[in-house]
Amino acid sequence: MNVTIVSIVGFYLLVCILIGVWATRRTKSASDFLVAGRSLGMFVMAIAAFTSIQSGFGLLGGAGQTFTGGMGFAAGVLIAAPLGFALTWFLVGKRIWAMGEMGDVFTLGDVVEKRYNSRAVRGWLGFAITLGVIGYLGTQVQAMGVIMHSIFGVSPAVGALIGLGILAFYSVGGGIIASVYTDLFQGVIMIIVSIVIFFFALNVGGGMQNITETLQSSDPLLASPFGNFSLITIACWFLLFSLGAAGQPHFINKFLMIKSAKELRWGAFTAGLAYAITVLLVVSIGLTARSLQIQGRFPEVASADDSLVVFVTTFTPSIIGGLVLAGLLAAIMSTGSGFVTLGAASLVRDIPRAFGKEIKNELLWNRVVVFVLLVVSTLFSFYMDTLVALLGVFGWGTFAAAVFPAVVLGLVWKRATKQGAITSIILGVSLNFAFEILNKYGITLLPEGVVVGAISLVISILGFVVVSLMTQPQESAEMEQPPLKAMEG
Amino acid sequence: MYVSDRIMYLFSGLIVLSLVGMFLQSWRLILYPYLVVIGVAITIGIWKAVRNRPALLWVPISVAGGYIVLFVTLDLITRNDPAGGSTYVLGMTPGLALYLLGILPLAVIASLIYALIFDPGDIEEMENEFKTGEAAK
Repeated sequence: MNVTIVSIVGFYLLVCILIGVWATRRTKSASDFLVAGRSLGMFVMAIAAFTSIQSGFGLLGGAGQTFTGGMGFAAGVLIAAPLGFALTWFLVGKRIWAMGEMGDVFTLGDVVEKRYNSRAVRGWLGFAITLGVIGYLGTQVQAMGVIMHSIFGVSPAVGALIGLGILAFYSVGGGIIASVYTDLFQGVIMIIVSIVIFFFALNVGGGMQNITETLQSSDPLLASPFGNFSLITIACWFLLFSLGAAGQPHFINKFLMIKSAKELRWGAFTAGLAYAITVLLVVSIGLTARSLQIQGRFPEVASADDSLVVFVTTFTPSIIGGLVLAGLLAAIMSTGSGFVTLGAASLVRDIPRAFGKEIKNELLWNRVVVFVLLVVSTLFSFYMDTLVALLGVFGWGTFAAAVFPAVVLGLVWKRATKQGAITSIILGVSLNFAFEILNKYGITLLPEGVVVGAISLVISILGFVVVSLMTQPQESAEMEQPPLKAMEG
Repeated sequence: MYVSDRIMYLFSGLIVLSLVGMFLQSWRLILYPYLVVIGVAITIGIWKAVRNRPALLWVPISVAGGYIVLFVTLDLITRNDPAGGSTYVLGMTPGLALYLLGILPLAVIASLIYALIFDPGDIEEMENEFKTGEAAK
């Protein structure tokens, strides 16, 4: 244990707790708990949106993939995500905000029920989101254990419990207010760390040209924009991670939280720029670590995903190492807190309302369900590894395929129908799950290199359009005026 | 002013092409139609403004056009050499430089354009309609 690193991470965790205490005092209603009382300004919302998209997967996994195979992962995933912010703001920023102005709209389930005048669409969407949340949370718990282990030297299980205890403390009490303000703190850490580490990594590698020449001496592809990755996979990723961003519920529900539509103006630019800055961290560490390894100057790593942690603990001063590790923990915890509130909203609000039942004292029950979700996901990650891995496939691709057509296209296209929406949600969930499970058991139905999430997204979009056209009402039933007004954009 | 069916059919048609590209294992057939989808999606997003001021079509055209120009250039220079040439641009191979200094910033520029064409007057009118209940009429 390095005292400087432990102190920095300890200070970071203490700030999260203090934000939790402050947010708990501010949270007095279900509206506060789920949409921060529609009180967020541009900067808080944009940084919360950025941190909800930039997770431990992007940072740890991105650096690991770049270390192993060069730029392909960054070219497909990380460079597409900032475009996702622009597309989402253009497509639905104003529209989702306007749906929120209709009153009593706290979740995407509320949005689709008002849009389609259908409880069934709300129920199916709530079901898809709940499955995704449980899977995502399980993987975040495991990642948290690994990082806490590398910082404090405790076992991964104990590390996960410490992290979860803090996450539970601020999420149960402060709900989304705690989540977005810890996101703000965490996002700022990530941005600062990324800028510092970018220049540091280039310096350690002997400058960009030296890094490039070293990579080329080992394998010319490592210095190319696509690395050793298949071009088909990169093209699929580019589509999935830019267009699919607008289908990420933990991101787009933040449009319901801003206090005024004027706050939308600089949000996409702020979030996109912040994300682009963190791409520099991933790329610089991944490429520099690989060039050091080629020169025999990089320690052996058990897994490529360890390359980022090994790089910062070996080649940077403790203060920078501490900031990077706090930034990593921040990425994991910010994603976890956003998801756990989203899951509670689905279970307490969307699914019961889909069956015509309204829960009384929603604030209390949201807090109870947040706690239960954290306990359940911890138990799953400790004792049901396979289930977590299976539910973990309900990641980006499933949300993109299940949510994008029903919510995003539904809000821009007047002829979309509830049947089309339900079809796309079912297709999105089932295609992702079926393809991934078959892959896991060695049965490959898709052409080589094609990404499951990308093909599921495009099929789901087409299913949505075709079924909507096939189920047009005989007599044009006029939609209510407020949703129509919101859809104008 | 709601998005017309024709633009949704164009969007869907381009998505079909990407799907065909996946089955034919052609990355170009996946990517190039999708770059046009980016422009169509932006047009859908600002449809009301475009109907009022058709000149705003420069926004989707320049974003999608920018991506097409950059990816076609990348495609051409990396056709025979994955690095895109033997020179270095700021220490990077030409292909990598095009990606990190062209394609990545274009996403941020698209977000900047969103901010620059944002119409506060339109938003004020919309907020008033919801506040006064006029949106419900």
